[in-house]
Amino acid sequence: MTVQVGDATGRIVAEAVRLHEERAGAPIDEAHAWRQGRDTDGPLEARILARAIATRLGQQVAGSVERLRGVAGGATLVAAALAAVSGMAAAGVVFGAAATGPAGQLNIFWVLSSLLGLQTLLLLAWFVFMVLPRARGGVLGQALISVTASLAQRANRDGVHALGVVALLGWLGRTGSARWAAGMFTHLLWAAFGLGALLMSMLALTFRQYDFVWGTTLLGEASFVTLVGGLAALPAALGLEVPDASLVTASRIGIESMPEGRRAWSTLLLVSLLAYGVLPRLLLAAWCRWRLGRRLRATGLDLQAPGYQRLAPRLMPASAALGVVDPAPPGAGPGAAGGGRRVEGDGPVVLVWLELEEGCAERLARLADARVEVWGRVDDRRALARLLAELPGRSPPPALVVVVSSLLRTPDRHAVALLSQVRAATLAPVWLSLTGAERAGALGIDASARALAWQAMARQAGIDEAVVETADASARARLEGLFARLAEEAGHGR
Amino acid sequence: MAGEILRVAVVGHTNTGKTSLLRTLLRDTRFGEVRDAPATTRHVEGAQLLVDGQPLLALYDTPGLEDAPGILDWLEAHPGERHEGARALHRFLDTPEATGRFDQEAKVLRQLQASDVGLYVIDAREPVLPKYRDELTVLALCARPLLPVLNFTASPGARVDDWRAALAELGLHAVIDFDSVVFDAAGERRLFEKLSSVLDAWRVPLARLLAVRERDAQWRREAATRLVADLLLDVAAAVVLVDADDDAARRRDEGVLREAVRAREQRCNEQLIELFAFGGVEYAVEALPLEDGRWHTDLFTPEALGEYGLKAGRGAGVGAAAGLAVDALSAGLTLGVGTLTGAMLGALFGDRHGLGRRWFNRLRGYRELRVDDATLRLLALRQRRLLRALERRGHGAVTPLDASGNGDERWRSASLPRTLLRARARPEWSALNLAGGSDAWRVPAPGREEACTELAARLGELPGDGPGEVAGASAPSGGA
Repeated sequence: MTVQVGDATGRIVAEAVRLHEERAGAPIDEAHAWRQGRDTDGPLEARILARAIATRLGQQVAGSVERLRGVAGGATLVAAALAAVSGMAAAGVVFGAAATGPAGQLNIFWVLSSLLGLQTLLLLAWFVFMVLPRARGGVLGQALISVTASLAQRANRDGVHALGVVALLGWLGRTGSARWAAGMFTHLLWAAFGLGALLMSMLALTFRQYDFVWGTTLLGEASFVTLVGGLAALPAALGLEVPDASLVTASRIGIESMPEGRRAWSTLLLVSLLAYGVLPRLLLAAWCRWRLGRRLRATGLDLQAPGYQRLAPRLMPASAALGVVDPAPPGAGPGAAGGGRRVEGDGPVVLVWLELEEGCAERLARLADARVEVWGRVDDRRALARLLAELPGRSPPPALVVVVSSLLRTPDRHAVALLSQVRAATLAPVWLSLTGAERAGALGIDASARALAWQAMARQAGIDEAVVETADASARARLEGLFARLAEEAGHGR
Repeated sequence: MAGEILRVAVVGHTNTGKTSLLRTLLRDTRFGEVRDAPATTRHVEGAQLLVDGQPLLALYDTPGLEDAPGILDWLEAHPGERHEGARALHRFLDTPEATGRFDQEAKVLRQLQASDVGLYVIDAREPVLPKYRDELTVLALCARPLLPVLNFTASPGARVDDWRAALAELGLHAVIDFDSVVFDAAGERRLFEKLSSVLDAWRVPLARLLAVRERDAQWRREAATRLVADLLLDVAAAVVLVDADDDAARRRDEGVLREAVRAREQRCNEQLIELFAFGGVEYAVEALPLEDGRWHTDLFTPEALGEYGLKAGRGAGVGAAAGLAVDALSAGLTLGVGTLTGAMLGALFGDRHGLGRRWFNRLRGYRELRVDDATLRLLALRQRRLLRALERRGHGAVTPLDASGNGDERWRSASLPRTLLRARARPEWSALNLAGGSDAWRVPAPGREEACTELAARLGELPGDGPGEVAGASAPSGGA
C-alpha cells in the first residue's frame, strides 16, 4: 500500500530521504523508486518527489509525518482548551474580586486592562518580532523549532520518526514558515484565552449585578470620555447601546451611580473583549495559517543541493537510447587471396604514395634513379585511374610496386580497394611501406596499433609485404635496404 | 513542429570521433563503442536528446564513410541523365552494390537522407585529402544541409585554417569547432547555435535545449561548490580537546584529527567525481589532477602547501612542519614550537569567539586543537582545481604559483572568508566533531546551511565575478 501525500508533505519526505542519503553517503538503491521517478513527467522536482515517496523509507516517513500532524493538531487543541480555562479563571478572578469589593462595584478600566492588557502588549511584541527577521524564520520560528525538537526527542526515539521530525523542522526553517506556524499557534491560544474570558464575563454579568465605575488621580475627566468614546465607536457603529459622555461622567467613583447605565457599560465590556481580544487573534491566526500554507506550497525543493543534484542524471537523463536502427553487416568481407608473389625480372621498382603528409612526397621524389621509377601520388581518383590504366601495359613489366602510406592515416576500405586494384593491375608483387611512426607517436597516436591495423588491411587487400619503416633510417637508406632485400629475393627466385 | 523531433545524422570518415561527439552531446559515456581504430562503429545507432524529459532531437551515429571515391567511380561508370543530382544517389542505393561492397556507405547515405541535417565530423589533424572532398561530394547528393564539425581542434597538429579554407571552397562556410575530447560548454553552445542558424524552424526548441543545458550545468556547479564549502566548514570547525600537559596524548589526538581531515577531503573528492561522472561529458581520468581518485601529495606536508604556493603557518617563519594542527591558543603557531611566543601571540591575535570557553578549558588543563589556516587554504585551492578539471575549464593543469587569473590568488593570500572564520567558533557545525554519536536526531545546526551557501558562492567566484574582498576584510584581531 502506498501513502498518497500532498506536495507539502511530499517535500518533507524528500528532505528526509535526502538527509538519510547524505548521512549514509549513497542514494537508496530501490529499482522501483528509480523507475517511479524516471517515469514521472515534468520537471526535476516532480521526479525527485515521486522517487522519494516511492522508497520504503519515504513511505515510512510519510506515515510518520501524517501522524505527527495529527499529534500536533491534538496538542494544539489541548493547549487551546487550557488557554480557554485560564481565560475563564482570569475573568473569574477579576469579577470575583469585584464581587467581594464594596457594593459590587467594578472598575471598568481595571477589568479591561486585566483581560486585554497583557495580550495586547504581547501582540505588539509579536509584531516587533515579525519585523525583526532572522535566519530560519525569526526568533519565534527558531524557538518553535528548538522546543519541538526537544519535545519530540523526549517523546520518541524511533529513527524514522526522528528523520521525519528533523526533516519537518528543517523544512519549516528553510522555507521561513516556522514564524508563521509559531504565529498561528500563539494567536489561536490567545483567541481561546479571550473566548474563555468572554464566556466567564457573560456568565458573571448575566447572573450578578455590578456597578461600573472608574476613577483617576492623575488624569482629567475629558481623557476618559475620549477613551470610552474611542472604545465605543465600534459597538456604536453596530447599533449597540453604549455609554455616552454624560454616563461616563456620571460613573466616576464617588458620584451616585446611574442604574440605567449598567447595560450600556456591560455591552461595552463584552464587545470590547470580543472585538479587541478574540476577533483580532482569530483573524491573525487565519492570516498566519494562510501565509504558512502559501509558504509551504510555494517553496520548492533546493534543487542545487548536492543530495538532489546527484540524483538528477538518473531521474532526468539528458538522453535516451534509440538502439541500433540499421544493424552491422555480418562480419568483415573475406580477405582477397593474395601474397606470395616474388620479385622477378629486372624491371623497375615503381614507387607510388598515398595520402602522405606534405614534405614526404618531395623526399620520395628524390629517390628516383635507374632502378626506381617515381610514379607519384595516387591520392585522387584521376591519378589512380591513370596508374591502373598504365600498369598492365608497361614494358618492361615492373619488378615491384611499392605503395608508401603514412601511419598518421587510419586505414580504410578506400585504401583496401586501391591496393587490391593496384595489385590486380600488375603481375609484380605489391609492397606496402608505412612511414610516419615517430610523427604519429608525437600526435598521441598509438603507432604500433595503427601499424597492426594497416597490416590487417594489407592482408585483406592481398598485399605481398607490408613494411613499417623505422624512425632511425633515412628514406634513402630505407629504400636501399629494400633493394638489398629485393636482390636477395630475386636471387631466391632464380 | 510540436511533437516532431529534429533528426541529426552524424557522418564522417572513419575514426574521426563521431561516436565521441555523440557521447559528449548525449552526456552518456556508455553510448556506442569508441576506439582509435578504423570502423569501430559499423551500424547506425540512435539516441534522443531530452529536454526536461521530452525528446527534442534524435542523433544518429553512422559508420565511417570510407570509400566515397568508390561510389563516385560507380556513379561515373553508370551515368544517368545529366543533372540528375539526388536521383543518381537513389539509383545507386537501389543497386546490389549498395548492400554489398558499399554497404557501410549506403547506411550513412540512407541515414542522412532520412535526417533533417547532417553533422560532418572532421579530424582536424588530417590534411585536406582528396578522399574527403569526394565524401563531401557524395554527401551533397543527399540534399540535406551539412554542417562540418572540426574535431580534435585542441590537438597541436590541428589544421583548422586549411580545413576552413577547403570547406569554404566547397561552399560550406558555417563550420563548427568542437573538440569532443576537450569538452567546452561554449563550443557546445556554438554547435547548437549553428544548427539553429541552418534550421530556422528549430530555432525555439534549440534555444530551449541550450537554456536547459546551461541551467543544469549551473545547478551542478552550485552543488559542487556546496560540497567543497561543506568540506571547508567541517574542517574549519573541527576541534579536538587535548590534555595540555600530556604530550603523547596530544600527538595522538593530533594524528586522529589529521586522519579525520584526510578522510573528509577524500570523501569530498569522491562526491565531486560522483556528481560529475554521471552528468559528465566523456571524461578522461588522466585529465584530473588525481591518481586513483586521490591527490598525489598528502595534505599535511610542506610539499602539498608548496605546490600551491602556500607557506606553513601564518605566524612569523616558524620552521615547523606545515599544516600541523594548530593549538587555538597560540593562534597560528604550530604545535610543539614556541609555545611561549604562541601564548603571547594568541593573547594578541586569538579570535574573539569562544574565548571564555577556551580559557575555561585551559584552566581545566585542556587545549583545543584545530586545523590551521594554511591547510584550509590548501583544501580550498585543491578542490577548486579539481572542480575546474571536472568542469573542463582549461585542461586541469595548474602550474604552481601560477596566479593567472583563475581566482585562486584570493584563496592563497587574501584573508579567509568571514564565514570560515566564524566556523572556527562553531564546533557544532562540523560533522567531524559529531563522529561516533547517534545522528538520527541531529537537527541541522542553526546557521550552518546559510554559511554553506555563502561560502559556496565565494568558492564559485572567478575573478571579476564580484567585489573583491581582498582589501576589505582583515583577520580578526584583538580580544585579549
